[in-house]
Amino acid sequence: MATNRFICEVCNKGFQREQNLQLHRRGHNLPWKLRQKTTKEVKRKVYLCPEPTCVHHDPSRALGDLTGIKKHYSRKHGEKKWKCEKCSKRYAVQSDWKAHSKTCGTREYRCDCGTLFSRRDSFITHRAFCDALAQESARHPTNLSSMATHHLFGSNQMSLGLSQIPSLQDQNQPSTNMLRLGSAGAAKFEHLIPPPNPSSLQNMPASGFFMSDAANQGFHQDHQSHHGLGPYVNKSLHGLMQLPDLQGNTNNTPTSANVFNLGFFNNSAASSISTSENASASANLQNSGFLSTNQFNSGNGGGGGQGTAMFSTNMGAQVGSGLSSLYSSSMQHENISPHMSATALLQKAAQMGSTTSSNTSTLLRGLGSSSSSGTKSDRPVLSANFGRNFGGGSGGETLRSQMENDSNLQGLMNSLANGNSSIFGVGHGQDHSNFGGFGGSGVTLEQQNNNTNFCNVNEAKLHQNLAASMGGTDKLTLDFLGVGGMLRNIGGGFSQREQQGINISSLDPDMKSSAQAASQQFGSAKLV
Amino acid sequence: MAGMIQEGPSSATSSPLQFFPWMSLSPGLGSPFPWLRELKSEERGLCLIHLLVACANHVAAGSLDNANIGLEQISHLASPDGDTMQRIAAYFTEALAHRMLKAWPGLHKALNSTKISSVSEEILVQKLFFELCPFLKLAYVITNQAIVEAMEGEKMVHIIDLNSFEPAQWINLFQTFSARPEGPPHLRITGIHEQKEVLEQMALRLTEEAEKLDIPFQYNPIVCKLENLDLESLRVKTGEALAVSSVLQLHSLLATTGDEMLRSKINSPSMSKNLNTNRSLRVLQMNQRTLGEWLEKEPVHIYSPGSDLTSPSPSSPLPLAPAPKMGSFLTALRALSPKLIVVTEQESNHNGPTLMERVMEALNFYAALFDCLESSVSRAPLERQKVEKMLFGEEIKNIIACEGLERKERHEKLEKWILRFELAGFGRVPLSYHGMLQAGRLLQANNYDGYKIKEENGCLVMCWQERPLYSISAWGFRRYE
Repeated sequence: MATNRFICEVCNKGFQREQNLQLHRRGHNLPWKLRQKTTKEVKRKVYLCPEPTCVHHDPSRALGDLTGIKKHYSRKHGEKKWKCEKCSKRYAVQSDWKAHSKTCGTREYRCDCGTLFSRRDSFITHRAFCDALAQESARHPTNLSSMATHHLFGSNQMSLGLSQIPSLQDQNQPSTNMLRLGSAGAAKFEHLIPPPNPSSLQNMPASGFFMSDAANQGFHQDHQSHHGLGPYVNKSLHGLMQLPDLQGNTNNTPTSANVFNLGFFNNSAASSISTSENASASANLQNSGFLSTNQFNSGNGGGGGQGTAMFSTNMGAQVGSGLSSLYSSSMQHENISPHMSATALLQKAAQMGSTTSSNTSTLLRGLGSSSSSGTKSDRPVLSANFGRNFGGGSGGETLRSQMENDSNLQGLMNSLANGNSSIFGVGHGQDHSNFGGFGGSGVTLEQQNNNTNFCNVNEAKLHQNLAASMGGTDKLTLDFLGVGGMLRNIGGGFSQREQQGINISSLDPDMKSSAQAASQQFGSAKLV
Repeated sequence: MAGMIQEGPSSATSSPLQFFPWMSLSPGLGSPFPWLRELKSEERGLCLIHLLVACANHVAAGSLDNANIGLEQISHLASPDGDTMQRIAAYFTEALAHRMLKAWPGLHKALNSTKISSVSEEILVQKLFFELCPFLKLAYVITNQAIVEAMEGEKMVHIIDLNSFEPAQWINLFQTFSARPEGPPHLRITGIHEQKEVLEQMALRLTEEAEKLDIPFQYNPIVCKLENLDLESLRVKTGEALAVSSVLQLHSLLATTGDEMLRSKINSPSMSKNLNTNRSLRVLQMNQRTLGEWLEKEPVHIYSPGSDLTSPSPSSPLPLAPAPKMGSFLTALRALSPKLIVVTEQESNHNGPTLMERVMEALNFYAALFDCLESSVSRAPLERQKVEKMLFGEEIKNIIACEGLERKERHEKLEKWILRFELAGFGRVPLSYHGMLQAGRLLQANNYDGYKIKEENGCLVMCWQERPLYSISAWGFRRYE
């Protein structure tokens, strides 16, 4: 029986503690006073680590209890006398050793390369780099699905419970930084670049950019592997996606890559590039601009040697050089040269199409700029045209212009097939009545007024078959170059002088007369 | 003549032949073009694009012979095993070929009659798409976040899932709900899918997870097609807070035949405000294609009486293709007074009336999607090919080769969806910044590179390299005073 030393004066109830009595007195509406616990002010004993070099030697970093400080001292400054039997871990404190040996080998993650992990996050991080696993999964693609199946985020801790997220991120911080450099997530190490050829490494500065332990053989030995550089490209190496083998496997690859670089760098402005790569990118851009004209002037393969030379000098960026060397091995596999992404190709086609100034170009412009946001085309005119001509255009007219356009292309093909001589034969059977059609497409002309900047250059140079271009809408109307219909789009760009200056003596005499008649008519229409 | 001809190409200006130097070699049109073999990937890609556009033009114009030649030419270059552009071209030409074949309906039917569609393969492909690309995951995360926010304080929550095939979607929600300070609500999920097995699997997984997390949960499977869904049969109880999740499903309701368009246009009372009888007669006389053009030229605003008063009428002449099924679905949905509808859709206009419009839009969209898939999964070409062939390829085929009710993949851009929902009487529920943050975290945690999430006045758009691919918007029931 406990002593109830404190008695309430009103009801004589006994209490063991004075505090409880006071609380009870409140119920009687008696004055009450709770005493503060003075024990809290008593100074606590803190323990300092005797080792002067230790952090906990400082009173501000003292530890609170004796056992704690003893354990700390053993762990930090003592010798590890306890050893786990199963693994080789040693412990200074017996309780640590006991705790470990209970879990040792019971729950572990084993990577296929043989490394053991007790923690899930370190296991995942390792696996991302592990090359052995890459090879394994190359054989068993289903691994991919099994890893991510259970949870939306592919990681147990990554639930949307907010409290857990910060910790997870902290743990993953170093790993994600590393991961971002080289590889994708746990299941996506396939992005890693194949190991550089030892021979080609001589030319490059050390590829310290790449993780050394990312020396991965894990990539598919087919031309799809080129895409493995996708993350690289998208992150920071835009335009340096697949560089030619610097040993120069084929003559043509540097040239195409030059063109590739030219086009691709135009598009890469939008994405985030680190400054170093930016510098190299812009350097490449200038140089490849030079190279591309080289290509065009000298035809295929002409720029080959130069291209190689230029690339080797341009590769100041370690990244670029590493990349090119890395692809040397894969380059030997097939004859297909490195290629750009489909979206980049579409944009390039659209840009190219603008200079051909045919109806094809308007469609192709639609190709490049139909995405709503920020395609960094350096011809804002194009998008305006697209909006006006293609997207906003009335269906009928666009259709007709499309028909004209496709006949152009068809004519292009046919001209190649039949040789140039038959062009005029084909174009002969035009209807003069189609001037109505031309009038209709005059609307298209007006819309393409902006094109005249481009077109004027062309039509000045191109000695066109005027009648052919102005007349037929759905016949195969071609000029001698096999690209008809260009002039159709040129609003009033012709001057009388040019029309007469055109030497059409080579044309079919019938056409000549009609051409002149047409030119007169057209001149008077002045659709500008 | 010969001299003149050669003047052209040598000039320094932009003759098209300069870009195709190989074309000047001009061999005969024998098969195959020898110079095609020497093409490098980029040139081949550009050539493919040109050829594709030209061929599509022929198909659109109905000149099947030319289109046939075009297909022949493309076939030398395209391949489902080649690089990105080759694969895209392969699927596009297949779609164009299907469209051409429909000119001989008997032939088309006979060729497609023995097609064995494996349900398990289709399910697998859906799961593959979920795992290989982050878009679905992002959509789920954002949807769930919107649901959690909208259902704050609600004790009974009913969610209608218009395409219920991925348990991870709702497991994620379970976890968030169970971490709620006031505890998880009573949760009921109605899942809709065409295949029973999928729903059974869902039910199993979800009830298992809910039990683990101690959430009172009930799963109602409904095996039916979305267009046949009878919303009233869903037994939405009073007192329940209703949320609807639609991930890439709603666009199939836009499918409509031309006649339906005509009929619905003429009969609906709101239309009579805008149409006089003369016009309606003319409409009857037109065929489908020109009707589409007519619609484009004279945009008709469909005003519902309520929205005139409470919301600013859409002043922009955005023509909305009338879709009676969508209209009735949204009306029925509104009758249930849902608290939240989250809609994820492809951000591209594949519902244009003309073929060329659709081809161009689809080219851009699927090029980005193929690139995206390529960069995420270069390692597993077999799986990527499955997704490309059975998912994207089928969508492309549907967009290009089908018309009328058959064409289900009627993707539309966000602005049109906004119009549709506003006209149907729903109010916009802005998606919170928190949702966008979580989506961003998902991308980072799984190291998805090149993806971006953009916010556009309350809606989110998932982009790949600046190209918007999917849009998410949220809507709620709007009361009129």
